[in-house]
Amino acid sequence: MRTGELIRGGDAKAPPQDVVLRLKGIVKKFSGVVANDSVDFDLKVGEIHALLGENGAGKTTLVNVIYGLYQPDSGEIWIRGSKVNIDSPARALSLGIGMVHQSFTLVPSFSVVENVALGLKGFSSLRVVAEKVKQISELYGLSVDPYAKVWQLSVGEMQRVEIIKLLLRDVDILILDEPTSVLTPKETRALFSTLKRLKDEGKSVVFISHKLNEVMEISDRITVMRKGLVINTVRKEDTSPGELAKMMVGREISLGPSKRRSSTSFGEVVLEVKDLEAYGDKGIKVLRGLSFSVREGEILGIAGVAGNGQRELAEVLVGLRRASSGVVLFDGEDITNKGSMVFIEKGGGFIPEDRKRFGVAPNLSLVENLILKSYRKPPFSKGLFLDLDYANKVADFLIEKYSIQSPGKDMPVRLLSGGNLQRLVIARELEGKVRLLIAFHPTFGLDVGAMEFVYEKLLEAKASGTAVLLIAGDLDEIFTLSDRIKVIYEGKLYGDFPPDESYLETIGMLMAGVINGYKA
Amino acid sequence: MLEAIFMAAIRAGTPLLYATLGEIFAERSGVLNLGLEGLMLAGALMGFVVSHITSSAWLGVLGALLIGGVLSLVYAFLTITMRVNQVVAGLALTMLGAGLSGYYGQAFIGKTASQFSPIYIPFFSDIPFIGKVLFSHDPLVYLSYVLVPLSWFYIFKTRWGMNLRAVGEDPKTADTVGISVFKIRYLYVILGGMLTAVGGAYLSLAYTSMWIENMTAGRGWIAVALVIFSAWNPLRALLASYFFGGVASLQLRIQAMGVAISSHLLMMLPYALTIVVLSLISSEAMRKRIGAPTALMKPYSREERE
Amino acid sequence: MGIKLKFEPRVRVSKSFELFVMLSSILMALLVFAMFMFLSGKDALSAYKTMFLWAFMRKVGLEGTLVKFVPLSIIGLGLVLAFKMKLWNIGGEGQFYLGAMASTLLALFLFPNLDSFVLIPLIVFAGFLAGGFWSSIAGVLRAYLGADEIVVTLMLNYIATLWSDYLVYGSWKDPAGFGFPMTAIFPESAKLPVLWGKVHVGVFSPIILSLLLKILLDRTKWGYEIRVIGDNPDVALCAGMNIKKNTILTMFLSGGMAGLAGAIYIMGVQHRLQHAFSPGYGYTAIIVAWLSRLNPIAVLLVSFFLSGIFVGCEILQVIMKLPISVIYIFQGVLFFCVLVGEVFIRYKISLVR
Repeated sequence: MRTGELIRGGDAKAPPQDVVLRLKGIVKKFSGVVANDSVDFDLKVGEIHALLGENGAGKTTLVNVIYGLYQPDSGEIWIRGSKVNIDSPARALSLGIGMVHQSFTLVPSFSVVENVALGLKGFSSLRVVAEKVKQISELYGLSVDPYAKVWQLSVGEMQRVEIIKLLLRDVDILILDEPTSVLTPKETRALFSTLKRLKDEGKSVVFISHKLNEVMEISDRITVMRKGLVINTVRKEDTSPGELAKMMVGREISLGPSKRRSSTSFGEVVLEVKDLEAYGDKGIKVLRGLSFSVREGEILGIAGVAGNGQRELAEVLVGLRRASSGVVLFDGEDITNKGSMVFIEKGGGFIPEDRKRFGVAPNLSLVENLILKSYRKPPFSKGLFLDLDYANKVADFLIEKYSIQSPGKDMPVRLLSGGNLQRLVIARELEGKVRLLIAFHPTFGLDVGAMEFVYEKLLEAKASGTAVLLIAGDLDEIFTLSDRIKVIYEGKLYGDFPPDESYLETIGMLMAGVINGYKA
Repeated sequence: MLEAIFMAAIRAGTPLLYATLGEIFAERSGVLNLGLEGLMLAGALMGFVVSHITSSAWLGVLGALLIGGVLSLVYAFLTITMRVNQVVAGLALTMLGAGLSGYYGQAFIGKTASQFSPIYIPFFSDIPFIGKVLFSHDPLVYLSYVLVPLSWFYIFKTRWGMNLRAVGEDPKTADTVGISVFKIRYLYVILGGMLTAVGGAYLSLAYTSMWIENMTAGRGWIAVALVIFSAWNPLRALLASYFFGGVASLQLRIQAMGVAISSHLLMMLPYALTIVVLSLISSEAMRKRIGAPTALMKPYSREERE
Repeated sequence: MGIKLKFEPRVRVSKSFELFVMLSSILMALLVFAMFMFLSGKDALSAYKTMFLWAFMRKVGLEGTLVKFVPLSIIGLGLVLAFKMKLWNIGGEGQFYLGAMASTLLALFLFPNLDSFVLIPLIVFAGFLAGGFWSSIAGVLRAYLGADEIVVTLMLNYIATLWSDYLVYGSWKDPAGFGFPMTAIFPESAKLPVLWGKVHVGVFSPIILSLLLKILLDRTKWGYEIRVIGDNPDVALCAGMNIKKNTILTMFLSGGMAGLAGAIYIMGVQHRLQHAFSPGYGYTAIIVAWLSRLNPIAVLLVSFFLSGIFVGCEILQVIMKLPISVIYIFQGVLFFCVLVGEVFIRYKISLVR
């Protein structure tokens, strides 16, 4: 019996029978910033309910409240007609609520079955759990090897393990946070059929996404959030992608960003990579012979599902990781394994995926972060000393030019929002003579406004003759910006496509590893 | 000769073994406790004092367990609940342990207390060589023989051990499946502190049989290095501790043989060896392969936003 | 569930709030320590009164405070530098010993006949190099092999004290010293000029060094690199900074300062090397560095205060028959209080149900 049913009384405020989960007036603040502003939300039995919104709209915060990871500052949660207080994920699980996080909650060094068994009440042995894993995976089409170590699995497999983990705990409310963002089109379809099957069994699903077409495909009802507020909840039949988009962004936007390629004539080759190979952190070869080149004024897009060597590729190019073989030529000069200093001195810029980790020193000021690449040389320094006056002037100029919102240029940058942090990184990486820009998931986690800003700056850089290597997972982004597209799969590059929608399917197949005779 | 050296290695290695075992538990849960030296000193004094008063060495061990538990509870509160920097908090604990034991130990210098003495186990002790080396020790050594495989089995083969490792590897994941990260960390930091304190008590109740100020002489710090050396594995901790114990006792033996090397230089041996060993095994790749707990030194907080 | 602590990161922290919390931590430590003394049957209030009056108001006591202030603050400054880069140099004690040993070597055995205006600078430099050499061992092992510098510097402390003992019990022992483990007294040319009482000219060196360190950290390219690496080594790598080189250099300079302190201390106060000549300056300096929140100027104030406590405890030893180890208890308590205080600076803590 669910704990929630114990205290069922004749409460007048209780939601109707068919509402399995009700949120009333949920408020959640972080250091004064409102992430959820009196949010109401109903989940009905046996429905797939999409939570749609831009990055930063408050979707993840909301589901973390439901899952007991965050405590709301005010508001009520009702489960199956009873008011509950969810103070931990354990409590959420006991109420039948399960969640698949965007960043997976699996212990990498454990096997699949160990991960599933972890925290499971009253299991007898791992062998029994493994049996159950097999049963469930057959029943719902979630194939995975129970004895494989998690770190060896693909992202899609890890997601399946997460779902199996929840099903083994008999949850009937499933929350999935951006589940498709890491999947190939084929895996997405498989996930959707699993979800439909769960729905048919009477389970309820909360599905978080910022992709309109997916939401229209899978959900019964859609709740749109913007800036911490619920804008509206609509039935799928009663709405259209255009209307949803408008609710999501708060104004009319054209669906599918416009193509903004201007020049088709490119200059000299700036970056040339030949037969590049490198090892990953686990000592496994993750780059397995890549060759490509980027010319002045050209954006080369590299599409692929996360974890196919993108991070290592970016790191090798900017000099953070050693190549085991192959050559990287920058303006004809061999910079292989010469380190990041050489890359910077030759005019290289790098927009990292994880800006907090590779982009800024969080406790240093805006000024100090802005001079990170230029402090070595005059006019930023004289001899052994920094020229702080000059640095301050430049900082003022850049803060203005890139409209970086901050509490002050002498304040630590950890106080900046994600979008402003990215503006700061871009300001630093694009100022001066940039010959080559490596942009690695440059819009990761940004809202539409900040995203457009990044696009604009990348295209500006291209127009001024910078060679741009764009590594991204989002195909829309790749198609919007790139002049040429290659696909990375398991450390090799495939194809060479113009950014024409007609190649979308082929590229999707390649990303999923359906090579079909394409040569690496 | 060889017999005596091996036997002495085990004796000298046992305090290290207890401390290393204790620290393995704490670090497996993701908490680095650098206060081992202080905990050992506190345990050494407490064990001695209780044994002196009650004339029971076993009650002395109980006293050491108690003080180790209390001090590491304070440490756990600071590092787990208050999220104080673990490196610095460990240093503070060492200073406190050294200070307290020095202060209260003043009155016990030169006193005697009930001691552990070797127990001969019928049959086993009679086996040639092995009997002398392994089975002519005091009960605390025998206890460690049991604790080591037990700890190994517990950490790697039981559900509780799995929870422990999960918390040290990935606290968020553990939390989301309903394992209390706080409870587990408190539990193992305290358990680790208790074992460490017993290591200290071994010094004053079996090894040197008296109380001397700062008698641990850096053994707590050596144990910190031994944890890395043993790859967070109790079985390897046993070998590592006895190896270091062997080096320490070799130094005594050389001195006893009257070789003309200054005792000061010989005493440097274990410390120098610690540096050498630590350097050999510390390269990043090595560390990853032998499985340092991923979340070591990272305080966990559910609501911290990325 | 019962009552829980709720931590909210503070967005901005004013300097005055920081100061307030730090002073409260010290007050808290004094309170806890008073309780400890009370439990040991001592009159804490009169003990404090005696301590403070002696350490800061009486001439002889104040001299003692200033004498201890010099090594404590210089080692503390060195540690601030290393800690800024998140290098846990716990080896101040050993580096201090090395500095003193090098000084002795020069003063007694290599150049006993040099003029003081040549010899003293030479000894200062030698002390600096020796301390720097000792800490660089840990720096090199950390940079190239990833060996944990905490354990290595600590082991080097033990080795350094044993080495020093080896010398003062052995070949360096003063033949006219009645068998005591110490060297002969330095020649006059290797003694620092005295200002008043026991206070020597070295008392100005911490002030100069702290200003230099402040400039180094805030104004120079190298200081900037140290701060970036300390804050986020990944981004430092991205910016092309050489972490290995900086690790070794920073450790060298950090230990060099401790070695320098050893040289000044031995020329200014002891005038000879002897067994256990340091009452743990290298360890106390860790608290100094932390309590000053890695601010070079604050190091001066904090080390002056802690030196006073040291001297105060010495007088308690005489008057109240308290063993000198109370100082270590106080240091431990103070350290804990400061650490908790820091949490209050970083987070707003409230109780929630």
